[in-house]
Amino acid sequence: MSLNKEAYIRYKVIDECLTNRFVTYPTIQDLIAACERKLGKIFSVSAIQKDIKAMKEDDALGFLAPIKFSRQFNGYYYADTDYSINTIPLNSSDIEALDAVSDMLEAFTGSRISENFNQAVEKIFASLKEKKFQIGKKQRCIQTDTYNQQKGFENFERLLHAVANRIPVCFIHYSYKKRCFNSVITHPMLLKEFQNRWYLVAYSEQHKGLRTFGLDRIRDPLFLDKPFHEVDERIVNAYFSHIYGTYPWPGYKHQKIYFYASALMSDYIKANPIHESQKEHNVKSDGSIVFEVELIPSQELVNFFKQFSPDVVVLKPSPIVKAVEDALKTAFFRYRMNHHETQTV
Amino acid sequence: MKPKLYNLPSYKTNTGCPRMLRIILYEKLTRIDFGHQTDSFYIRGGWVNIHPETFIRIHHSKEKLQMLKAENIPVKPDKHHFRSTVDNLYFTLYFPPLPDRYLSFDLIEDEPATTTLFNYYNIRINKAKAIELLNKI
Repeated sequence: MSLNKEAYIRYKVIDECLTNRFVTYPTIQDLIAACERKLGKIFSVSAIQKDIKAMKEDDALGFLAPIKFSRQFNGYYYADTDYSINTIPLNSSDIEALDAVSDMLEAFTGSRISENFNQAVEKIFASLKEKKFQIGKKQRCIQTDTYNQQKGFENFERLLHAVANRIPVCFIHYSYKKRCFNSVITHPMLLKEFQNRWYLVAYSEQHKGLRTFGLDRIRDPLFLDKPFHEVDERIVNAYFSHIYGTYPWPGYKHQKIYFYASALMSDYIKANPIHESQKEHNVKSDGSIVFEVELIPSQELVNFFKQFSPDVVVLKPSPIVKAVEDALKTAFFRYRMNHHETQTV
Repeated sequence: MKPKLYNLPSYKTNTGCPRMLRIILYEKLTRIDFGHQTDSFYIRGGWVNIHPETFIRIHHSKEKLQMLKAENIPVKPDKHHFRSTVDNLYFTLYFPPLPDRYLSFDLIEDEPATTTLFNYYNIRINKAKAIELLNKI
């Protein structure tokens, strides 16, 4: 069932009142006041009475709470003094659903997000473990591509908070390419993942436009008390609609890019299109295909062509052809050099 | 008082000194962040440390603020040895609080000045350019 978040908070508040050993037998007014304090809005007597009824009787909700009313003390109480909705075991459908995603969560917590998220997910694992023992040893069902030593995730939660709450941030940025430090003032718009790496997309005051910052290059983000520079969501979406990766080549617009793929690679590329604009431009009799995509050139696109060379060869436009050629020539030269240097390793 | 950020302050220093990135004025201390990029001047990028007597000298005042703490950079005689000519180091120095007004100051590692000392002159704090922080230290 889909449980309304606010209703669930009210159930938790009512539960806290009923399990409070110091203030027993809370009245309906006490429960209303507690909910109002927690949620900052007004509740009627009938609304809280409906909540109590749901906690007692709603099978789908699953609490079946033993809530009773004491005429003697004019207040509510749990007939079972050890009861709390926090001690309710997960039902079978909860277990099934959580079990299906637990491996994914485990991989996620191990690498990508910070301590607070880890703790929350670990609580779920703790609940699951007891049930897992009852079911028997569970074979791992999902394995994701993670690497636990990636830098930068210590700032994930802080940057997520800034994105969600529209808070300008000043952080130290180190550019691998320029080999220099900078202190940038940004207005974070989005956290984006590409190939298991995380990036912050933000309006940069210095660059006067949207920029992408790898989380591994961000140090010491500080929240600023200044107005947030909003960027239209359509502009943010357009920023990524014609790009493979995260770093578009500055000054380039989206354009048609043609590349050859051998028969072997064509199958992979057809099964895993690199972009929604991908089309088969020319299919040859040997099974090789010339593909067409409409993208802004990016470093990641060049890397893609390098990675799958020689089964993938970019045909045009010429700036990308040259970038790939130069990179492959350098690689060839370094392999030749290293062949001689291996004697000294 | 809310902490105040002075981003990318202007100053004069020797070539090869770490870049002063930002100054943050907290109620009880001053934090200055630096980033250092090695180059081919020294073999494998050389080494760095900070003199324990590093201080701030406020212009038109006799006041000297002695360094309280160095973070991520060793204090002399310890050294941080770089591993290559493209290595880098981000570090922070802490001092007592600077006055919350327009001012210029020097950050002096040691005197007399030499080309290898991290001395910064005429660092300007323009109160009109301060940005308040939401969080405290």
